[in-house]
Amino acid sequence: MKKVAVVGVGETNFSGPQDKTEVELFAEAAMEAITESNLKPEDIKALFIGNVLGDFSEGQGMVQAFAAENIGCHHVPANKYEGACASASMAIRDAFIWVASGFYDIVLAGGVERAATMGTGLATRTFAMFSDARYEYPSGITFPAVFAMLTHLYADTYGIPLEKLREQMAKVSIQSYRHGSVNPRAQFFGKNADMTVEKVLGSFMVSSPLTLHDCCPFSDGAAAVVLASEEVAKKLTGKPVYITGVGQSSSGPLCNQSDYLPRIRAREISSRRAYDMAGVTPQDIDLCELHDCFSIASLIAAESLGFFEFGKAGEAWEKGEADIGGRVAINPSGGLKSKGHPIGATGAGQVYEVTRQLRGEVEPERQVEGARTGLTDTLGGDGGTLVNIILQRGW
Amino acid sequence: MEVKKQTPCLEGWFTMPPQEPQLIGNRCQSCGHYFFPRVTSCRNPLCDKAKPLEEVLLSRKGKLFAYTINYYSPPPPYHAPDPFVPFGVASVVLPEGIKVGGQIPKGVDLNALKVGMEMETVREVLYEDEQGSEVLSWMFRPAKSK
Repeated sequence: MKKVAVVGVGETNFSGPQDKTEVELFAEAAMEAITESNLKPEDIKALFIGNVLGDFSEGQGMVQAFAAENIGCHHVPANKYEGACASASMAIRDAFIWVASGFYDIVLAGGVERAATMGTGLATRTFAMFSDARYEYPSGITFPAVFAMLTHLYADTYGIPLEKLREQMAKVSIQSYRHGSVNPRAQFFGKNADMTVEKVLGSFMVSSPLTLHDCCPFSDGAAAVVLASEEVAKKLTGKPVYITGVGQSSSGPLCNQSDYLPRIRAREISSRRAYDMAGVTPQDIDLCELHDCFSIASLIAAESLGFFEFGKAGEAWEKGEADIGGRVAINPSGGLKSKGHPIGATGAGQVYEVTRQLRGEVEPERQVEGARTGLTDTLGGDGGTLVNIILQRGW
Repeated sequence: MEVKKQTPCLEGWFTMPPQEPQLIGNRCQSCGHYFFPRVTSCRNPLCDKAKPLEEVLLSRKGKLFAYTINYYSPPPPYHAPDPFVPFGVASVVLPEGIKVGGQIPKGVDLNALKVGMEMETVREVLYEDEQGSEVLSWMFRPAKSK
């Protein structure tokens, strides 16, 4: 198996509703990644793209073929990946496997979504399709309800009073808002830096005990990465970031995962595969972009990824152990909560962030100094698809 | 008095009047695993599937595993009343070892819910369809004391 490097990354602003089509949005991110790689579109051998709801949001199916042609990658094989919110991570993992196998030497991977343009009504309706369609969503058990139930279950499992847990969760949102407020690509750039526990707890109740500030927004956006084999990478850049471990796992409907909840079994399997492949442990991770679709999801993820003991992640956030300068810097980009969550692009946005952090290129206020190893974590549906990617500095 | 026609929201998922409200699941006769909703093939990776699945009525009572109160209206195909009223949803673990999601009926004190409390399966009107039929669903409410 060949070593595989990220040689270039690109990203649009993650935002509320905007006018560009998905093909146009993706082009913006893709051309930034290709240009940064010192390549031209004709050098790209294949395109792997995550996109979940393009058909619903703008009536455009098969976005991958149009996206390839639109950036000048004529006649390349173009594949679309759909794993709900984990789509782009699936695309990047598969791109990694194809380059590692030697079949292609340069692949463009990424994702694009216009979830904000859809509006809350259509977005809520279509997002709900990724839970069990037979009875979870006809019963009114939607994603906020699922994570709200997990919050109660988490409090009960680990013996944490609900009010105490809600304060810890508020601190997760506050940290994410603070980092996103200084990330120019973030949906909440320049906003919410002054968020307080009182404001989080006092905002609109969505599904008890989750308030509006416990939930991530709907977003538009695109992100892209160029992967190349080691020998090609060395010719293109002095700062190759190697993908040293990947993991993916799946689960059935949430009710069938319940023996393990509030832990997400697929995440533990997926991250274990990634750690083993890279030959590293959770203690080696300097920063992690994880799937904080809801504040409680951050605590659950950070524990399953091995950063903190089960039931202790809330305390870790309170003590700053999950912040820049702490044990592991979690979501220095602002995460889904503040950077935004254009579902088909989110995983590529995480790889964009980790790559730029490892190169030391982000804004000083949110740079993790000396970071050598980073991890991404994306969750599709209610635990249906999990993908983890480990990236390490190659110089 | 007019008696409205009643139809199940999902055919064959739970018993209809005059039977007691019970969920209909199945059990693998080879390995003993229970399933709800019913499956067409046993999901146990270690099962030899030598014997077929049998249909079973699941226990009416179980324990509250997790719950929430939805303060916003879920999208269709959920039928929300107009004006929308917040409602409870629950996950209940049955003695057969499986967990089932369902709504909590109107009239239950949602503030008194506690993880681990005993719940019972009931059957309630989910909504009225365009023909005026009552569409029924299984729901879970705190069990009445014996």
